[in-house]
Amino acid sequence: MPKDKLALMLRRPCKGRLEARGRSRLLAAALLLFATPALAGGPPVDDDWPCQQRKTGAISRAAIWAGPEVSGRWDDDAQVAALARKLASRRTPLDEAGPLIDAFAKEAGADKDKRLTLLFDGTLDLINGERNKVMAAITRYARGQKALAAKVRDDADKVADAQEGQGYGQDITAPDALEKAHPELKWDKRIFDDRAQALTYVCESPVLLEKRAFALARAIQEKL
Amino acid sequence: MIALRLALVACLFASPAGATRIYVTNEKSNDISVIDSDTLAVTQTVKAGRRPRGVRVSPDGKWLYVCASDEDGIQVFDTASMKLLRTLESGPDPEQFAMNAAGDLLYIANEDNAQVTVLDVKKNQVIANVPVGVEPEGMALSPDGAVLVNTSETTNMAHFIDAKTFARIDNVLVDKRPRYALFTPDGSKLWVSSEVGGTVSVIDAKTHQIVKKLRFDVPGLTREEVQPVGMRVTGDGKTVFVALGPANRVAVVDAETFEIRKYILVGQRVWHMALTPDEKYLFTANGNSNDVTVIDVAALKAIKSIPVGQAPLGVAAAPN
Repeated sequence: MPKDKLALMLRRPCKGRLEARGRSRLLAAALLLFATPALAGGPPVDDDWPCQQRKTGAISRAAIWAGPEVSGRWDDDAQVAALARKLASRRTPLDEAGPLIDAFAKEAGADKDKRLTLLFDGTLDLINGERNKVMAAITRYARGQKALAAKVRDDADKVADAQEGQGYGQDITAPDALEKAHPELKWDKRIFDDRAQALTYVCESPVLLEKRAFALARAIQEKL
Repeated sequence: MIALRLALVACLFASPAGATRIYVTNEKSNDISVIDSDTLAVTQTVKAGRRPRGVRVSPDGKWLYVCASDEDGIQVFDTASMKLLRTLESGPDPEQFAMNAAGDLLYIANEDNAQVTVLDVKKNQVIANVPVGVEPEGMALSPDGAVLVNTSETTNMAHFIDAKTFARIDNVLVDKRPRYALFTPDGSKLWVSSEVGGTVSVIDAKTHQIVKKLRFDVPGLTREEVQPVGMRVTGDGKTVFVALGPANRVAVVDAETFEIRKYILVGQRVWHMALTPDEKYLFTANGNSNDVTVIDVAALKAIKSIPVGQAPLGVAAAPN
């Protein structure tokens, strides 16, 4: 379960002192409040994969293409390569893709089906490359979050231990008191929370690329 | 080949059945797309409750029932005006449901609380709550109305339930995450699709033994990409269509030999399907490409993609 996953991330090794554990839990609870939406659902397959969406390998050709298979490299045909780059780029709106493919098909000549298939190959290669990069970035991001969570946890413990040593009394268990006395802790928490929220959107990126690859494959296939 | 030719000939001589309306639930845009089966275009989009999923039309074609999963109710629309008439007590988080032949009882899978709710439509009254496995999902009623089947996603079972006493008759263990249950028209077999297991179990409805386990080896795809969900059977019981989720394909299965005749590429993440009453077309709801694919059943070819709302999941065809 995702909640357990994050709780594990934030759990502090037991020192055997009840008060200290109580403080740690309060902080963990405060962090959890913000972090759970981004990490909801999904089987715990990969510890560094923080998204609700399942982590899947590259988009397979067969999942989106029912057209022929041809030999040859798409980047050997300059015109095909240029159009594949344009289509794969997220800067090209999808509704502009149709007319571009249409124009290409009309001028593709005798080898039309072969060149359209190569165009599809190129588009898929490029989108898969982009998707790989995005997924690696998401994993890095999750690792950064883990490290930050550990830092917040340790700092909170240190601060709490120090206060306890000075004999501050009962109110030190309040997270507010900790944050006021140690603003850097508050900042780390805030960065953690912001990133956790952003993750929801970041996790959509691979899916958006899958949708784009499918839509382009379909548009190209229609011209065969 | 001969069968295909015969089917083509049969199709040529079939009487023109007239337009049928196809209703599609869009899970994320919270609406229903109405498609005309003649023009193959969306004629109307109607607002529904939050997260509309399972959908059925009453046998007389007058009412449209839609599970509004996040509102814990089943909405009833007047198909003539497409106005929302009332919301039925469905129990929490309704997803799929079955209906008896008379159309006065609904059997609803409540995903959140491990039970099946039996609802009297006219009285809007729950007449039974039947405890089943964890995360109930697929629902089917045998053609003679005697046996109710529910599949539970986490328990991985098909539960056979007496439709009169609501007593549990038997549990059949199937592969992981069973999503959909379908009786053949003669009631002799029950087909259960397992989304994570990637298989379809064909169960003898009398002995409750699994007589066949179907796997779908789509060339070029990994096993994880093949996730069977929705199914439909032709009226003669000879052909079953299985939607394969992220494989973006519908498998066409010969229900007698269990041979897979074809994989048809449809839209992205295909969930559920509906056949027109004349069985000329099969409509598939494609959750990620936000469209419905129209399959010409005689030719076994995808002939059109119709854009609908966001994340289409359920499809139902009006009876003629």
